[in-house]
Amino acid sequence: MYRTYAPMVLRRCRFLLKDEAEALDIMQDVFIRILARKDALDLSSPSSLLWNSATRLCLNRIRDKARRGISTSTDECLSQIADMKDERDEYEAENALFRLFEGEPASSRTMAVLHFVDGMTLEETARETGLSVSGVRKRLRALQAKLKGLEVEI
Amino acid sequence: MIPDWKLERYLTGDLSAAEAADIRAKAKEDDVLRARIEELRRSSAEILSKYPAEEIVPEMLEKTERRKGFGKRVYIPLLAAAVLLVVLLPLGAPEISSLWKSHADVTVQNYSEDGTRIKGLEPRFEIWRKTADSAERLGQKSVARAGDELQIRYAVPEKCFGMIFSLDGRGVITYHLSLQDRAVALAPGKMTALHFAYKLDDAPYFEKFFFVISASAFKVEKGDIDSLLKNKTVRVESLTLRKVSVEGEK
Repeated sequence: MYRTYAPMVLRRCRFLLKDEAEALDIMQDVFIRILARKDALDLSSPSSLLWNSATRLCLNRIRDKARRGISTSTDECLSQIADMKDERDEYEAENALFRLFEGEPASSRTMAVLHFVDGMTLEETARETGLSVSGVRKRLRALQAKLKGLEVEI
Repeated sequence: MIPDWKLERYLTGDLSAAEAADIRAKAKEDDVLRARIEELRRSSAEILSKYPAEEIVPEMLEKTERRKGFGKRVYIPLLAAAVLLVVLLPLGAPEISSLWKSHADVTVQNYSEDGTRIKGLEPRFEIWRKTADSAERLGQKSVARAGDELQIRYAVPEKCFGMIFSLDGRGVITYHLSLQDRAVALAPGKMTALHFAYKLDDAPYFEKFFFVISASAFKVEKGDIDSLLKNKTVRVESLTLRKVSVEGEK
């Protein structure tokens, strides 16, 4: 699994964090979390799980760094998304380690990156996150007000 | 244009047969697409050579086991002890069991560095500076320079709220542990290192770090640190570093 997926996960983390050491750290964290939950997960086609998990953990890292006044080279769009209040945040803060993969819906922040940064359509974002297209549209529109200069695809 | 995330899945074999066939067909006609796929393949080879599975996977397995082991080591004995306490205490010591009915404060839980319980611990924080091959702990009035990379650690003896921030010689406040201007909930236990190191900038004279804790939630009102530090409901620990310029030691 590592040989097949680690390059994809590391590239994802490099792209979001622009820092090799941190990207490597998050990449390992993604695999460690999956290893810890491997019995409860369907790992027959884990690209989506790995991609979204890496996205989420990278956003957390960007947000934490910003809150500690550490500058990042992350672009403005990602910084805005990372800093958004998310309805999953408090849950995540309390259950950070092992609940990530227990079938909870993806955070709105992750959805925002998939749609606004990765260029996924609403349909693709919905498929990735296990929500309906209208559910994704609704949640992204709710976030749009906070994201300057970004528009949700109609 | 086919997005990167889809090409990644093409390479990992996680696309449907129809989608994969579509990309294969397009790559035959499209030089740019073919080059992008080749670049991803080259990058994958480079990553696996730089971070080989033989090195990284055992490391990750060990960390996974450590996390599992931590849960078993800590939670199962605690649960067993709690059950025994609840069941046996009223039988063996009625005078003590009456304490359950009191409204006294919760007993402070103290832990040593390795997580074992000790008594008399105070809330504390430490600042460490990264060196070429290790790290050194900094004390009051230690000399520091712009560019020094610092790691902050803290421990509290009981559940409380806390924040760590620093004030530099230009009067700039940097929050290291907080939710913007609000304190965060802290759990008792062993020393916890903040997720990120902090690199000192070239502000002159000093960098003073404050570890502020309270039994209840608090925040910095309108950036007024003085009021917070004078507030009698908070406890403050501080550590000051002397800043010297890189060119000349003062």
